[in-house]
Amino acid sequence: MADDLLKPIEDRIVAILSQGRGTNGALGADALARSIAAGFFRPVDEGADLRDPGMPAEVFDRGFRMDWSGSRDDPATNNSQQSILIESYTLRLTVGYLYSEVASAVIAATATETRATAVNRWTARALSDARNVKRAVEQPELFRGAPTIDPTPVEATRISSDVMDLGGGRALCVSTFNVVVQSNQDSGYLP
Amino acid sequence: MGDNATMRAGFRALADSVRRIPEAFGARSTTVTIRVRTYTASVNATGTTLSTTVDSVVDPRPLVRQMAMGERGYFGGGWSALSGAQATERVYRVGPMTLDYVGGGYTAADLSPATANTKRVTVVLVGDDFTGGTSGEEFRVIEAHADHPFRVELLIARTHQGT
Repeated sequence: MADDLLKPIEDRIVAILSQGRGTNGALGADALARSIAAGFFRPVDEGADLRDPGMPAEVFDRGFRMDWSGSRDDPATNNSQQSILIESYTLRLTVGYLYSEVASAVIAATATETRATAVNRWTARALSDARNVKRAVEQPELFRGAPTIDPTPVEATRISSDVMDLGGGRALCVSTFNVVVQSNQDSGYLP
Repeated sequence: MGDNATMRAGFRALADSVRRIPEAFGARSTTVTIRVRTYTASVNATGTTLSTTVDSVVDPRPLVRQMAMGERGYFGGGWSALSGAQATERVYRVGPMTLDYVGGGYTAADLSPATANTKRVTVVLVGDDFTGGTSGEEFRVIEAHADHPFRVELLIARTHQGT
């Protein structure tokens, strides 16, 4: 049993963002086309905040964390007498970016990125990444394909992606997703 | 009149000798180690593994003083945190340490090596003010000062512990 209801959903998104889910083609050509290479994004210590000035620089760039900020019942499909419960959860995905004259050695650049250029184009870099996150997380096979998990991920839709400068060469890109989850109403999903 | 680097080096050697006296009298209870971990790829990335860990113990043991409680945050710790107080990223000043000369001393780069996305640099403090027993606690360098001709100092704050 997972730690809580949303842990399997988080694990699925972590697999998409940082573990190369779908990159082997096993989930189909569409999933492959939208998949993200393993290690492209990096989860920060679970619980640690990218806004914390103490976040080490070497894990900041393209480091990410997820926060759930709310839930709502699906407006049409729920019947309290049935075992199926469909809800929408609001997920905030925060990704860190470094920029500054001296940060080029510390950024998590891809093999084809020019470090010296990328380090000072953080807004474009962040929003370009956010688009790729949207493409991947919204792709059905990547998000809800095999193996099945409980609760069941139904769909994810990006609401917005916003960049913000923390100062001192650190910045964030926060993408908000609406995540629809189907769970078993007869289960408490307790640890 | 030009710079007298020879005399400066002589004073540095003298200062280094004087700075060894407190350790000889048992008055330096904290060991300071510069730890550089190198990884196969970006730290925390899937598939990345630790390649090497290189420890350099600062000699002689420098003065270590807590300067501030520091930011409250995830990477806070210490004795008070273990007893239920808020976790703070305690700030310490380490030094003075002698600037480099032929036969000893350190440069600022020796004590604060450049970091990278594949490298983690920490300062490990082991002593009475630090939890973790002989493993101590790890700190990150906030500032390295080498603006005095004979000494270099570090300002450090608690950070991620371990690999």
